[in-house]
Amino acid sequence: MRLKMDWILFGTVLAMVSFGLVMVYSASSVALELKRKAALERKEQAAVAAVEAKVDPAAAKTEEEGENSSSGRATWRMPFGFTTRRLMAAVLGLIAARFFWHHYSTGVFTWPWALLGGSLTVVLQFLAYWMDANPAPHLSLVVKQSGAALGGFFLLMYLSQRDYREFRTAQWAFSTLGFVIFLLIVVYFADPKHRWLNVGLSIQPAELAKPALVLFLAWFVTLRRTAINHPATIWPAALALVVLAGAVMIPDVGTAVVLVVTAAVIFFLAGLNWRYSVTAVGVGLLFFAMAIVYEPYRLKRVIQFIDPTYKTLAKIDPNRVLWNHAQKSTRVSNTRDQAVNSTIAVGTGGIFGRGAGGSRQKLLYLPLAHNDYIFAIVAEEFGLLGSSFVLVGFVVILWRGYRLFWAASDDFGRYLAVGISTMLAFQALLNMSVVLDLFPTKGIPLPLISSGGTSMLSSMVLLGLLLSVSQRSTQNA
Amino acid sequence: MPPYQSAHDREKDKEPEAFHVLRDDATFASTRILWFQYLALAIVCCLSLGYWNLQIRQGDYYLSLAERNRIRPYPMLAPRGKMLDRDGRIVVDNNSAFSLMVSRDAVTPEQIRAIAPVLQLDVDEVMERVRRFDKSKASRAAPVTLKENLSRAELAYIEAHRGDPDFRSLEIIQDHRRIYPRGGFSAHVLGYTGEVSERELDSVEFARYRPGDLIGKAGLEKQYNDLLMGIDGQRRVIVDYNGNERELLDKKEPQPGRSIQLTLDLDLQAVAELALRDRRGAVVAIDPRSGEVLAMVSGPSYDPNRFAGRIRRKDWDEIRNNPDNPLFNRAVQAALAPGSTFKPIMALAGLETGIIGPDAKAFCRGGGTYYGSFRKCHSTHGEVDFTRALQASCDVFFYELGDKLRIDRIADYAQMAGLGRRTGIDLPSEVDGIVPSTRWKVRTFRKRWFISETISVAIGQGALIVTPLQLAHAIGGMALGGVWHEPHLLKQVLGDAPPTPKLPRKVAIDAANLNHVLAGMSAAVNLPGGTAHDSMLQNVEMCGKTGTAQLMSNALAQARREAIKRGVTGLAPMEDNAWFVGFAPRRNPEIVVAALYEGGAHGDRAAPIVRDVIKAYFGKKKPAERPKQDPLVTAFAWQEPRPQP
Repeated sequence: MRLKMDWILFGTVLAMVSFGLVMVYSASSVALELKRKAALERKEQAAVAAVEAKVDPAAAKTEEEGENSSSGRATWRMPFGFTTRRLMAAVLGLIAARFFWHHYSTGVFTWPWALLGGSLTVVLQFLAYWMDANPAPHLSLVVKQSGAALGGFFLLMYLSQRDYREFRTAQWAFSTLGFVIFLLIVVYFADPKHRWLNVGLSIQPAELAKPALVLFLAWFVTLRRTAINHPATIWPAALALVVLAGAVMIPDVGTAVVLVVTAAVIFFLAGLNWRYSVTAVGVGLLFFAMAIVYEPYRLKRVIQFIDPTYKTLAKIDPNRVLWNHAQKSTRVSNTRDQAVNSTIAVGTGGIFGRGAGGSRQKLLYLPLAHNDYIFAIVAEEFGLLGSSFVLVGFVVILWRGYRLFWAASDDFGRYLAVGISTMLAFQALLNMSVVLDLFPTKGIPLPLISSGGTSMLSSMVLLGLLLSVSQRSTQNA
Repeated sequence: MPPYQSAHDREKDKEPEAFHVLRDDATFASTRILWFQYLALAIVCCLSLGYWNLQIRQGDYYLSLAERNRIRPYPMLAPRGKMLDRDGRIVVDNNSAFSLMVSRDAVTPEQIRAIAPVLQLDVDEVMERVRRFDKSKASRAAPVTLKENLSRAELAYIEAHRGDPDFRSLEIIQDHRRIYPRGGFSAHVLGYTGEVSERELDSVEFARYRPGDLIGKAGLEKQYNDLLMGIDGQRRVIVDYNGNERELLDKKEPQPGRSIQLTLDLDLQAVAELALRDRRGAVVAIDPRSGEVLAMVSGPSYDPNRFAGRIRRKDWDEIRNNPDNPLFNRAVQAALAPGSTFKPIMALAGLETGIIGPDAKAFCRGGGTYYGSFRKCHSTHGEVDFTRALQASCDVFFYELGDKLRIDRIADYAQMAGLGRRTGIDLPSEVDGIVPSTRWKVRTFRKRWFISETISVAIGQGALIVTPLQLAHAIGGMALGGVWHEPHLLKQVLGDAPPTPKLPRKVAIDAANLNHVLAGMSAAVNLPGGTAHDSMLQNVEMCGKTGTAQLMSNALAQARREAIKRGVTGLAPMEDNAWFVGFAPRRNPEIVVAALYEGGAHGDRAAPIVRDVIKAYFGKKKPAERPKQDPLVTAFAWQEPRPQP
């Protein structure tokens, strides 16, 4: 059997990842500016020191002249900005694409490729660390991100060729879930912010929870589909969900929301009773509210979103208990600033945007311009066209995933596909709403585009599984 | 190579039915997934509407917000260089002050209306200034100065209202206010600074300035503006849409202007100023050996401190409408008839050309008739010889001499002495003066020279006009034996090596002839019967020549005097201008001083000014450095014994 390929999905993913790399490079150029300036100052100081030490300036001069003379030569220029180097790169790229396609169609992307991808990720991460301290600090972020993207690509190829039905086992479901919960527990004690696990490279276990949860729920729902409304189904599932989402919620409410919503969608589609659904949503909202009230900065963000002046809320809360609690926040003083700056960025874009690299808001006005607010930079630099491109990309992911609800060859694939595409699309929509100031400030990245290695890897794993489901589907719906 | 197949794939290929068992039924949930599909569609539509709203409908609004979100440059003003006198005393200094600046892109007319009354500023004036900056090419982010030299109360008020939205666009920066000597002391030499004007900005030589820059407007401030003006530094600050400073981006320290040392001597300057008082006139003291200007005073004066920074319109009008025109630097700009102070040059010309000898004589009977008109002498001298002609300033002697010399030779010698063209002093707006000649007449008036005009020129009247500086320069160089150094005010730029002196202009003058002329000038001061004998100095042989330059004919002047006496108003008394040019000592003079006292009526009224300056010059020297006393003029039979003190 020759493997068929969901070219629409595959192409969309590739385009979005490449676009994301461009955007990460563009948005992280604040660091570029500042760090390069610092480096230049260091260099100048070194030059001054060299002059003071009476180093012979004649030698330095001849070196410079040698460089200048070679560059000063008149050369024939290729049209359309092509250079020999770029042409060679294009030819090599075509050869590589042919090679990949051959391997893909013959099903050669087995575990050695995943290993290769993983090692490439690690190598590029360390390269980025090295570059950060050395002459090209501004490239470190994009190198890091390309490492993650390259590794993620090999993982995607590997997983899409691997049959997803091999994961339809209790071993896989529980081991991944357990591993992620273990990591979350470790990170709770290892990191004061409970977010980053630094083992040479930094991993964000909350991101890894996403594929683990989807895999577990798809397996569990498939197993218990005929008795989905039975307490013996609901309680274990609720327990797993609460443990995972609770562990994730401690550092990162946004991701927890994404997990809970995904779980709700999967269960609802599996035929969960309305009553249970409503109860679950109520309980989820209660937890959510508790999580918000518990952390002053979250409360502050919500208050600043709903009622910045606290005039209306003061009627409900005359003693200003909530307000005083929110004032204990030690985080960024005014999150309205972020929201306003992101809307400014989006609003400045117009139809065509300011052009690649033309964003001004990324110049220290918009914090995390390369990360949570990268979409604002997309909108500013590429305008309505660019933001529509990203939006359409996630709509395509949603479409190709939901299509498999009918087309997948089994229940496991069905829930997997719906869960994956819901998860990615919901996270993207949440991020975009935050950028558009339609939702309180939330620290969640835009999948595939924001910088962040773990996020990229987990998204690629999810999409690899989605591709695997899609090419083993029974029909081309 | 056979395609890769997983265990399940192989199972499916071999036994399709067995695989089919795995396939579950999806139809039951198809309505539920439709919900989600529509929900997703709705969310996407919402987001698209959001984009449409933000990027297309409100695009301009957000663009304007983004405009405010920018890097804003604040100037760090460089202090102007100081000016020191020749002994290193500070003449012009800077004072630290605070200026209030406003960001043009953030300020609105309403805010200006709120701010201006607090600072006692005229709203319209502020609006006009902001608008003027709008017209120029300066970046919109560049701030405009609202008020300089803030008082403590104003500073406190602005600091206290930081949070007020009206005051958000204000910024206080450190400024440097120029301090000039008080009371208009040497104001004309030093000049003043002012904001570069709109008209100047349009011209080429001011192209490098930005609106709001303070540049030298007159005097040395203008002449050495490039040296004195530093390079402003800049502090670039990232400001958010709210006007709050986010971060300091970079900082370029200002480069202060160079300080310059002048050749002026503050003591002599003060003496000259006191001697002139506030009369209309000018005093110039030069060291003829180097051309260094030791003192330069013009009266009446003005207080340049009122110009320091930005002058108010009222003050400006007051100074401009003064009939005595205080802004006029009479030392270099007042070209007037030199009167009898021109006679030494005439005398030298006579001797040098050989037209007359040192034994020449003339008979003065109170005037003489030349070419049909009677020319008066101010007295009846009887028979005058060469020395007495200079001593008593007999006009008849010079009428005769001028008649013989003819105008072109007079002009040659006047030009030799440096009259009729700028001396090249380092001050702006020096004037040429006129030395009339036949060529000059033809070129200027397209008429030929009338020989009767020569008679007027011979006593320094007629078309001949010189400035006090030119006169001091001419007589000083002549007294030195025909060596004319270019007068200058800049001694050196502090921190640089002293500039190499320019080569003087030299003319070979017969020493014997020169001695005769100098003896006559000495006699005018040091001998009884000399026109300036009252101003004789005890220990220094000061030589000099008085001058009384008529502004109108004697009859007319007399009529005017009588009319004023009768009580006719609106007539300025057109008294004669008093001149005196003196130098000391006679041999190798160290200082030459020319004084002009407008409306002084007679030259001996200007002589005390010169005497005071020369006295101060030698009084300042230690006794050992004073020149050995020359024997006074003794070679004349009619000399009376000098009264002993």
